[in-house]
Amino acid sequence: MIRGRAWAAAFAVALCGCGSRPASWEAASDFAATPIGLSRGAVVLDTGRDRAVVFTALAQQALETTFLPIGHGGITAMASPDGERLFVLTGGDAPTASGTAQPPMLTVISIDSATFQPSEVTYPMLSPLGGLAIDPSSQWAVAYDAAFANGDTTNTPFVQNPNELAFFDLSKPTGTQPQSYQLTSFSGSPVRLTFTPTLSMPAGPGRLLVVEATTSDVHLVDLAHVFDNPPLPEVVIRLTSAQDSTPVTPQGLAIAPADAPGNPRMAVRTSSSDVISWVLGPPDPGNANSFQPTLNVTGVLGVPSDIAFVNTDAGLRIAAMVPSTSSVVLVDPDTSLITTVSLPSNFNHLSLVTDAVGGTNGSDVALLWGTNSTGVDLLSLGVSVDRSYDAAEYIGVGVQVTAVDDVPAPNQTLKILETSGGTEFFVLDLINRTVSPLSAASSATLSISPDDGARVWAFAKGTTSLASVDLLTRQSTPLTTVLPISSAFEVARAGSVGGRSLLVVSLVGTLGVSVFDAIQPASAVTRSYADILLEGL
Amino acid sequence: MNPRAMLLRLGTCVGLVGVATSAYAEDSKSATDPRANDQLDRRLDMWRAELGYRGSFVTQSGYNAFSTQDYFSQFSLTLSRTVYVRGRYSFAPGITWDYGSAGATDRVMATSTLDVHRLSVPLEARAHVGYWGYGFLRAAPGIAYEHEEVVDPSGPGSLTKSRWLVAADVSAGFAVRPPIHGDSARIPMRPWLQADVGYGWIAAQHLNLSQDAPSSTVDLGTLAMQGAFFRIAVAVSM
Repeated sequence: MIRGRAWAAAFAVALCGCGSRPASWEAASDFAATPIGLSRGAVVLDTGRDRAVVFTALAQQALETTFLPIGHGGITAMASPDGERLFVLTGGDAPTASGTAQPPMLTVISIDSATFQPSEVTYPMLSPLGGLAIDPSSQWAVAYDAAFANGDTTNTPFVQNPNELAFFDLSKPTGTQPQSYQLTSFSGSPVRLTFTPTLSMPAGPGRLLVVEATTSDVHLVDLAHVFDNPPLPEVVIRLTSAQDSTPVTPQGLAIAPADAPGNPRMAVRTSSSDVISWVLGPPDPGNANSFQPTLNVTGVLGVPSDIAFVNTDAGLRIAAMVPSTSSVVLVDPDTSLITTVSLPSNFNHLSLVTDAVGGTNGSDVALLWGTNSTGVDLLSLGVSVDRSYDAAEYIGVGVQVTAVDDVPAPNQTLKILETSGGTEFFVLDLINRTVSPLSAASSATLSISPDDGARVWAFAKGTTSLASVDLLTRQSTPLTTVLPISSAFEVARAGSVGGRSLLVVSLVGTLGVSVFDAIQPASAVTRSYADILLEGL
Repeated sequence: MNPRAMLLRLGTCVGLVGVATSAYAEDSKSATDPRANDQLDRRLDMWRAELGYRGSFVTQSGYNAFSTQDYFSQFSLTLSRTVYVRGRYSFAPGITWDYGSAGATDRVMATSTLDVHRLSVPLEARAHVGYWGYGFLRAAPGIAYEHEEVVDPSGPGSLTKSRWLVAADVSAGFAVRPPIHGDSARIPMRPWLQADVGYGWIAAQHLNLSQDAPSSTVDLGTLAMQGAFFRIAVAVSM
């Protein structure tokens, strides 16, 4: 009887006891973040399989798919401003007694400019940090304590230091990275990190990392001494109100142009009606740092919503947008004297467009816009102090402007105005002061061709509707895809012939991509690729 | 599956066949059969039809898209005819149709299916052992038709591929006749039980599934339906 049972068990094993497939086939098709566009491809993060799916376009609408490993756990991903690199922070596994858990890490993905071959470099870290700041020149990256973008808390540490920064110098070997740096704390934590351009510091050219904290302090970290052992402590600026010396929190940073006369200047708008600026002069004797800030606090008659350093007919000023008074206040950073320029509408953002339209006698021109206005304003700062009544030029569009998009050169004289509702957008010609309306059947998402600014792609998320708009002729070409659209990216095409392609990513099912020719798009010659997350398992 | 585990399972199957045949041999030894000479020719020279179950162990990674296990079940049907007899040895060619299907849900979202038809010509050499059965070696060249399909919301429809491929099997096994009460010489059809183990091979193919209109493709790598198998069957001869 026992022998019979043994044979029955052996028979069952023979029939059913075969091996199972890898667990990656069972992993959910989760996408940690929206697809991210690079200059030569697009990336989707396949968190179910801990990999980055990198798409590059080939001739004849062919698509090359490359899978690169990324770390486990929570994810924050960000592309460098020039589109050359993708930075992916991962939180790692929760610690295990066996010590086999994967550590947090930074993965830097790039696509070779000659071969279009994607590759990755990884930097293991000690602590899971979900915040990421990228240097516009792509030399530096800094991780700081913040929640991961996808909300994953797999490896949330039992104790975390919110003032720990992890510096990555991408020009150095990976083995020495990252450099841990402790900010001097006044009970706050970092909230915004800004890399300065190269400044004419008192001791010579140098760069800073400016850290705005949740409390009333701003930290100036000298990047030249981050990798010192021990690192040089940063300079801390405590912010207080001009009226009653109560602490105020920083809300946004402005940096004076590198060609501005004198020592480097910076300013922050605050949670009060103050703008606090400082100039970086030589240090006092005994100060280990090579610079020392001198502060200037100026009231601007209302809580500013945006600030910028501008060149006016009276010299360098800090322009502070004050929506509560429908004005822009120009602050002399040396004397704190202010000039108020009344505006025809209630704007809360400004951006300089001097390079596009040219200024008068070296003065700037600013484009003003805001969600409380149904138009934009061109502010000529060359007459803003002496003849402030004559400085503003209003251009109405009839709907609220929610965003102003830059158009790359050689079409930088154009701006794209996005509006509330998304069914209308406008092409603003800064030279001719004209606005060309374009309407969409439903709320449209826009993607401007990054190479030459010749086209804007408009699509409705979740639908198959797509259009290419020639920004010079305003001619619209209607297109359609076979898959619902999540994102669209115009990228350079691999191969000796070159050219440009549009990658339309569909985050449904196991991921689909449609490829169009970007220069001469046509729905009939597109190619689609489906079930992509089933590949490479 | 590692080779050691594969050998263990094959050994288990062979053992099962061995136990079954040895048990029947003991029963048959105790029986007397006065009509042995009368049955000898019919036992060697016969038409034969088999209906069986075939289990294949496919460990190649391309199969993972279609099954959660490294195992493929098939239905098997064979018709053969003895064409040559010499002493206790005989040779019987035939034709076999194997059919099986597998399916799985991939990455939670996609549904994939695989259908395999195999048409082969079994060339079977038999060595008859006494009254109760025979051992055989079988080589079966043939062709296989594979059809793959993946359905997923990311595609405009199902992505498919169908292809005829070269196939071949080699196996060894044993066929036994259950005891028959009464005058077996007057029974026109005789039942058999049989089992064999071997190795099945279908040429590998690249799984570039597609849909013609609108153009859409996916590349799932290479599928090679190759590996050890066992087959158990019931048969009738006449």
